[in-house]
Amino acid sequence: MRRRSFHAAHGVGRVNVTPMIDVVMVLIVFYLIVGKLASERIESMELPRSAFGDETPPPDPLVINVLPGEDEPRIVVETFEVSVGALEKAVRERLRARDGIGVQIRASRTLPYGAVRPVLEACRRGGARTVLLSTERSS
Amino acid sequence: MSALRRRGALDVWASNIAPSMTPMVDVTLVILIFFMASASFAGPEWFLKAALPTGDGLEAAGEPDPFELPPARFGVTLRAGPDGLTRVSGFGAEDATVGAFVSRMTEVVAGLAPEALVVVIDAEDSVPYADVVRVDEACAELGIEKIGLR
Repeated sequence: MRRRSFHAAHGVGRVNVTPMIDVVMVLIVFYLIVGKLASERIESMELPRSAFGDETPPPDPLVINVLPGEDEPRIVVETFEVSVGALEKAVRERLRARDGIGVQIRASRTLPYGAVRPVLEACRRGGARTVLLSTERSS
Repeated sequence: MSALRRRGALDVWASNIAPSMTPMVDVTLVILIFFMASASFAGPEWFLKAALPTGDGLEAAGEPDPFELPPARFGVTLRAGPDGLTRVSGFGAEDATVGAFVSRMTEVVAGLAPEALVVVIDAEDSVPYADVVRVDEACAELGIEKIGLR
């Protein structure tokens, strides 16, 4: 009497897709994280604290970082460090290239307002009418 | 003796058709790690909107509508006090600390329509940027939408 085989019903030759899905998912996540890191435009700094603000980030903003420097504050527009004199041109060019974008200013809380004022003036001369000041949630 | 009973072929078959949890757990963990990593990159930031007015920011823009009341415009001035603390003037307060100014402004704005107010913040260069942001935040929290930075 021939014994019944229960394995034949499951198809011995079927390809096991589990490792393939694992590898594909890991690759997708790897490229997503690398892409996000590559497009990172923010600098690490101590932002002013606030208990109120808008949580929604602007879509694809022009990010201007103002950090403490040795002699004068460092201004980093997205990933490029610029001088105060060149900031107006940089803002104008980017606002022209990407119409309707917001300007996000990330300035350190350790700076005096005198270090941020030239940045605001350059933004105004460059065509920005409003800016968004980044703060750190204090609650 | 049921624990020692050998599993029959039907029992083995029944256990084989149970859904495999391994791929689901794998995918869920990978997605979880991705969102955790993304959250740490984005950082907990808030945004305060501020206008960049031309001139002193207190003058009315364009031709005023004769049938409409002009918005109430307030100037807020921050300067560094002799004790190193920031002194704020505006909304009836004179050289007040930031906390006292915010209390005073809250009292004044309570009787007004905040969305119709215009506030222009002017600060000395030596004033800490954090104090300027604190005043901007207090205005926004009271519902004032038109806040300018000079």
